[in-house]
Amino acid sequence: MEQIDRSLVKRLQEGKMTRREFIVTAAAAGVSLSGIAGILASCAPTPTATAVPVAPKPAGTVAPPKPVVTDKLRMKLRSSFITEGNEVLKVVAQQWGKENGVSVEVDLAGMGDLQTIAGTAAETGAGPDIVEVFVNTPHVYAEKLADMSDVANELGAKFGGWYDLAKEACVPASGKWIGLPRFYAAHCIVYRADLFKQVGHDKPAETWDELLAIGKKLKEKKLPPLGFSLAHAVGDGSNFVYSMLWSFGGREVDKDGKTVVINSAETAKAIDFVRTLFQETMTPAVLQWTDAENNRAFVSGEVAVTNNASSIWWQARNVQSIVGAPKNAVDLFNGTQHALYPAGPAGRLLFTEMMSSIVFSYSKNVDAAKAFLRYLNDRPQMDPWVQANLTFCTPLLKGYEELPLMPWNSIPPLRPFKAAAQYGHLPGYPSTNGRAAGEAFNKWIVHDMFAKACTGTSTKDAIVWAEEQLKKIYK
Amino acid sequence: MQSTFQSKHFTRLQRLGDWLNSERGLGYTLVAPAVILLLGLIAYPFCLSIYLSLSDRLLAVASSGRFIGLGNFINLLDDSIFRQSVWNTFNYAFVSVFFKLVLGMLMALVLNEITFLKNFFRGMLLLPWIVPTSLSALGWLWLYDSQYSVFSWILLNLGLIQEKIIWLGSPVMAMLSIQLVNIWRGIPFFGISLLAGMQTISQELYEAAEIDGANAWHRFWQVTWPLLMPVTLVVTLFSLVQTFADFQIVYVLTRGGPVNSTHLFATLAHQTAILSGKLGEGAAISLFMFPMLAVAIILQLRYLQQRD
Repeated sequence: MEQIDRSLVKRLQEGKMTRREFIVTAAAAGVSLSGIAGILASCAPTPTATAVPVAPKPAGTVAPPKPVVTDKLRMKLRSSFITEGNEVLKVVAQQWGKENGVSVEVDLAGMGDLQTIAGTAAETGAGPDIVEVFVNTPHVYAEKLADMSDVANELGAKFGGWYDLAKEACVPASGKWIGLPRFYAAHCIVYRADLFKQVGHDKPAETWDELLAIGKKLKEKKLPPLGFSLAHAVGDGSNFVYSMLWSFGGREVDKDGKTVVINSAETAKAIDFVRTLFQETMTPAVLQWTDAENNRAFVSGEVAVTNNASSIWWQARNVQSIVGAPKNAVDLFNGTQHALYPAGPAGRLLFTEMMSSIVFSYSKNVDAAKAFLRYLNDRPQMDPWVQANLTFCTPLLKGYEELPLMPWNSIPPLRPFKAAAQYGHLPGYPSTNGRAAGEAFNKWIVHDMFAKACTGTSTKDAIVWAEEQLKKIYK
Repeated sequence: MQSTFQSKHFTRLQRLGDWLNSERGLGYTLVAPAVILLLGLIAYPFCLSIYLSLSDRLLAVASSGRFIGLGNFINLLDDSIFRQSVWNTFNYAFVSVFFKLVLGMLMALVLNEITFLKNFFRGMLLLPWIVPTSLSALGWLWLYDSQYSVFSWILLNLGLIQEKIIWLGSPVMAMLSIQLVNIWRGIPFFGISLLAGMQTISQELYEAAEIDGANAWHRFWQVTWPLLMPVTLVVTLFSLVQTFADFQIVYVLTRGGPVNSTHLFATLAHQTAILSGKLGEGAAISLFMFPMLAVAIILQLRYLQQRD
């Protein structure tokens, strides 16, 4: 095994093999997952990456009884933008199947598809056993879901407790866990430090006002502008508009989950600020930006600032690591840095992109699904996946914050992502009316309120429109 | 014992044989599979959607599903997003169909004149219509990309514009952009259908018109247009029905944005029923299309019957 290992590593280092191919081949050759992750990290094409200590196997775990599965265990999981993570995930799932003599079917899909799959499964009572769903959508299917409290409480006790964010997603008023929080994609402001220097700023912006000032200077000097999606972009767009609303003190609904409170001076301030930011510092392309378009705009050097998970940094790193990459790609990567979101007048509150695993109660394999999820969320399986995903996928358990293997501890440029979940909230915050919040989210009410205000509608009319829509939803 | 069984069996077979021998029996038997398919795949979902539209059924909530009469429809009329979608759908369908008809007619006239590589051109021009819409829409997504749009690149390099065009960013541009895709996709259907119609027009009529001194313009309006009218009407109505119910182009390109300016009945129904979990309301949205499509279909059938 040592030998296979070394020849593979050599091929990987010499660029004769992609990282994906490496993971698949090494796993097939019997290299342990934590071993693979260690090799990948030490072969990372960035000079800043340091070797990652391999996770120790937790001692003293008692082997659980083998799960019984009817037919096969079928799951639809979220695919990561960081493709190495997906390979690790597939290998882990198949490994569990092999260890337990069970056939496992894993499909990876995007957020939009997963929502349609979950909706159809809930309604027809047939389909996959496990589905990963976005933000607070578990509440939409609450009635059809198996109780996950036992697994959630176990994991919480074992790994330092869950963030509040995790409870917003999976715990309705009943107090039961209807889903198992799986991961969040930590978000940061991605900015070009080299361009900031050109306008006299050595540090990222602490507050939104400061970022506005920097944006104005960039525009004056005809440098690339700012860009935050104002379109129907599920991840980055939601991240921007909800975070702005909350950081300025605005809320959609009161704690009771019924009283719509969007019509407030705070909401008006948030809207006025976003309009100014849009008109004076942003590219108009944000009005059509999907979740992928801001990545492309940043990596092609067309914007100096945007909000994103670590995937932009990862793309920029890949582009400049190609042999013969143009100098501007290398400069762009060297200038790319991350920063915590600026604070607003009401503090720092972030919409957080996260997924939860739900198990439908129609499934004949509820116990096996739980056994699988226990395995999937245990350190030996979690660690290599978390490492490969470079903060794009991070558990919602506080115990992971300080582990040396976490990418935000081992890779300096990723440090600002650390424990971003502590600021995280979901649509409908601070209520727990997840179903109504999910409806408002899927109808893009908050997104469109801001987009309207940036394209000619008055602040007051935009708020009145949103209020009218929200009142119909939260009745 | 055995003999009674055999005779019973025998009489059954004989009865079946008699049934199949009669003209009526055979007819019903042969048409049965098609009827079962229609009932299962069209009638059942249709009745279910009528039931859903009259109820407050929520996705994945067993206790929901109270009969609320026309409640969903009345609520919808009061909803600004729905009213906007009605306007969007009419705008999308009528503008697209108009241009598909004009350009399709042009395509048919040109193809009718071409003799060089005739089949090659006919085949090539059918392509947009043959490629699955969701795939071609993905191609258009790249053509409309805010950074990498080929259109913007060409216009920039020709010096016709100073900045890249934001194709899907403003309500007006986004609607025009999706209409362009629909028109691009639909022209071949019009072109080929009208071409088939043109080839049935007797050449003698054109010769006679020419002798009377009619130029090309007159020949089109006095001969081709009136004789082509039946085909044109059927194709237009058919396309109108299809365009009204369009889903894929909008779903792939804009998801109804910006600010709901490109939501059509079908995409709004999907968003409401599947994503937001309001099955009843979603069904009501898609049934709003029904009266309009029914009128179109009745007109079409009437016309066909009159011709017979």
